[in-house]
Amino acid sequence: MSGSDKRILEERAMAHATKPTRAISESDILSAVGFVLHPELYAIEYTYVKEVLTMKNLTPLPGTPAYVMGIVNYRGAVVSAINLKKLFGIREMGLTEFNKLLIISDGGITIGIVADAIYGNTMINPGTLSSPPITVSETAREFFRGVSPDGQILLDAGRMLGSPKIIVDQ
Amino acid sequence: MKHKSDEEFLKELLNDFKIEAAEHLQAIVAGLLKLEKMPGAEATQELVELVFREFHSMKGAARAVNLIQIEQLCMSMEAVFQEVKNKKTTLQPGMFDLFYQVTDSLQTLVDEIDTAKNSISQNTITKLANDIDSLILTESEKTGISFFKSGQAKKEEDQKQASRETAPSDPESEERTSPLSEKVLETIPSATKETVRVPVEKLSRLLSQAEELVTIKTAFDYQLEQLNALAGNTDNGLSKAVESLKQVKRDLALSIDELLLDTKKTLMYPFSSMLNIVPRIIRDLGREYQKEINHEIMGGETEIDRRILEEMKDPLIHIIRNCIDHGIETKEERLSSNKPAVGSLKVSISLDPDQKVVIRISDDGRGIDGNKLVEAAIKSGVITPDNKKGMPQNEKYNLIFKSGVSTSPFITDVSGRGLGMAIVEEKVNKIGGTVYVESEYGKGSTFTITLPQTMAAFRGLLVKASDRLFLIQTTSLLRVVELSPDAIRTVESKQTFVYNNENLTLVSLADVLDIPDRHIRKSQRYSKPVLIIQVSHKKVAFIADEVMGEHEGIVKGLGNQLKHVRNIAGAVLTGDGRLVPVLHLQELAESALHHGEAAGYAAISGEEDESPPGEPDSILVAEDSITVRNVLKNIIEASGFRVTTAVDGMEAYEKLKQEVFSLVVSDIDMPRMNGFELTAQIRNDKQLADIPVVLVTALESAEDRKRGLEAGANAYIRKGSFDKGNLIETINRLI
Repeated sequence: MSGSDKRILEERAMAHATKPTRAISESDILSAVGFVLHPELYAIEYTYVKEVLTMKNLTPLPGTPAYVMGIVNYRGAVVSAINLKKLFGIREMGLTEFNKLLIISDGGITIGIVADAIYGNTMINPGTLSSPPITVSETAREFFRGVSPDGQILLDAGRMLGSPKIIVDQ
Repeated sequence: MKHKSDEEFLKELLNDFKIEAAEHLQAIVAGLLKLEKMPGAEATQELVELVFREFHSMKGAARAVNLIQIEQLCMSMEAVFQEVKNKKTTLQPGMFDLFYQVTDSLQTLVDEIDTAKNSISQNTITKLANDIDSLILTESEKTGISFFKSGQAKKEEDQKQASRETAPSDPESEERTSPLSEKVLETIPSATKETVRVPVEKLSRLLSQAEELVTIKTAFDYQLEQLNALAGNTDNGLSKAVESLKQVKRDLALSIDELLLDTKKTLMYPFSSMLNIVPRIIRDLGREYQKEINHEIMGGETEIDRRILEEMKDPLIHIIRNCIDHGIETKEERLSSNKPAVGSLKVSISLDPDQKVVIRISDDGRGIDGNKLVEAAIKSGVITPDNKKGMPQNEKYNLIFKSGVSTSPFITDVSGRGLGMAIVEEKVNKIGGTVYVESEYGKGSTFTITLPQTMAAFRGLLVKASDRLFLIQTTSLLRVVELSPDAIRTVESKQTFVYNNENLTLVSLADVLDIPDRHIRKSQRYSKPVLIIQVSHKKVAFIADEVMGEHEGIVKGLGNQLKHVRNIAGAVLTGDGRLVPVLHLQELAESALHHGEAAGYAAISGEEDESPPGEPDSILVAEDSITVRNVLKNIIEASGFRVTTAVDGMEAYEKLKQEVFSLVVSDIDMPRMNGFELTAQIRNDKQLADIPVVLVTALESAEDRKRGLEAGANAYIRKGSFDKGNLIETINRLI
């Protein structure tokens, strides 16, 4: 089983890694939800975003890695609130509010991404993405699809949700 | 985005395949069990056809979703049954072990679809497939020769021979066995009513949403109260509105309760869906222990919450194993005590008038020796010799559920560690059920488990550690007492709490959980509650900061992303929409015993405890597979031991000569020196002879067990079953 899983993942990774060479058409433009995690701007493709919630009733969970801020109740299920800064090893800067929680899912894994604010819909042309700066951590590079010309970091939500790096199993 | 939808589609396909495969496998195992009872007889043709068809369909389905290993095994099996069908080969008793190995492997492969697990290697699959393929070769060769000799006549004789070999020596017993086991098997597809196939996952989601409504109901109640208070004395329309709202609330409450109940009912399963594994288990264990056992199963149609059914699988298997291992005697023993040669095991399920499900498992074996149990209990410190006096006979038998009480000298996976029965009781209690045993020495024993039909709400005590809330299961909580200075004692520089004349390890809950301390504990250190908790074999005293009261709720799992969080079993939702973590008491007790001691001391006494914690026990792990080696290393280290590894028996033995170890965990199959040889070497070495050896193996076989015992191993654990606790419990018990 893991063999075919791996193949699928590899194919997907290849597909994601390949920059489109043909002319840009309507269908190439990605529709994404943009959010702020001070001071960065991030975006996650719409297809993965289930809901945007106001962060409340966060319960910290002892014994979890630092990037798990805690757990919340989402439609009867337990979902963890993940602090991307901690996951990517980005130094905390500026005033963080952690007001919003983006619930993202690939059907198997569901997690909440903590955001300071949501700035709404954003269209990203994957052809214009530049690769992330080499200064970011390995984890960040793995989960960044690229940076748009206006500075939004497009996250590779599919890869993130499929990655063992976000699984807590002690 | 194409990839994503492709992947989703594949996932759906795989789910469908899982459901389908489970049905094929069930039919196959049922068919095999029947076939085994009557090889060669005329009636088998139909069954052979059935098994052949099931393998064929499963093969096709596996091919469709590209599950090559499953396809490969099914294909080989299909070929064998094709030969049998065409009378080119006959089923021999010896083949069935291989067949069940294949069905087990298939089950594992199916279970592991969609997971990262991959516990069966391609080598194993290939080997299995080759073994199956060789059945055809050798069998057709044999038949070929027999045709040379006397053709058909010889073949018939072969068949007769075959049926004699499997038939129990008591001809009556066979008559009794077959119709009964068939009856059980036939109850499985009792889908006479119109049904829809819905994946359990969808129903579970429905259920969790229905449960969610209960929280909303509570919140609604609360808000309505607030509103009522506000509207209070005003004489405007507000009070009227509140009154009508109250009516709405009553209707809402009623609907929600009914919805929840009906949703729960959709998740009820007949017991037969689990019981169909029982004949297999009895057969396998009967072989393993070389005992002949006749079984009877009644009440398989009784329905119960699926979650409870899942929880009950292990306890049930354990009790059955116990009945066979310790209860039912060998044939010789039985005959000499004027009993029928074939033992009898009955499992009956019924629904009592209070809507409780009652499971009775009884054997006609030697019964429990109450006095021997009392001795064992005294030896392991569960009771004192004083308790022994005046203990009613029935109470003696129930000591079997106390942890650490075992009358068996050799430790296997489940029997003999004295933990199995304690775990049975723990599991049953967790669901809100009870278990007890009645026995008559020399005549047999009956285990009775009483369970709720649907999963009841979880009851727990809300406690505060530092500034955080946690829920502790009430059933494991012995008492809450106040911390008093004269109850604290220092034993070997560790803080202990005296409770009922016992010295219990005393730790702060916040420290064990590693929560930053927000309370000023020193100033109010003696006004705190101490929670006395008992989990399987140990009592531990935890200092909490505050007890907030009782809470009832449904325990939710932490989800796929939080697969396992140390010390946390799940979470419940409170009325204000907040999640409260439920503590995993077993792990918490382990954590407390392994790391919390020094911290607990400092927190209470307010003094710095400078003495370093005692050196952790050192454990040697010998295993040739790097994966398993690392898994073992991680599991054992996580419990506070120091681990050294060796790639095979030879290296392990060399390391043992150089360093001091408290225990050896060893694989069986290893290059250069295998686990048996290593064990034997250790036992023959004067300096090493006393080191406990735990053998870990991929497949349990009676012969391996015997060899392990002969070589001088102390415990024997199957790889598939080392959920973390199992191995650690064993290690702790042996050190």
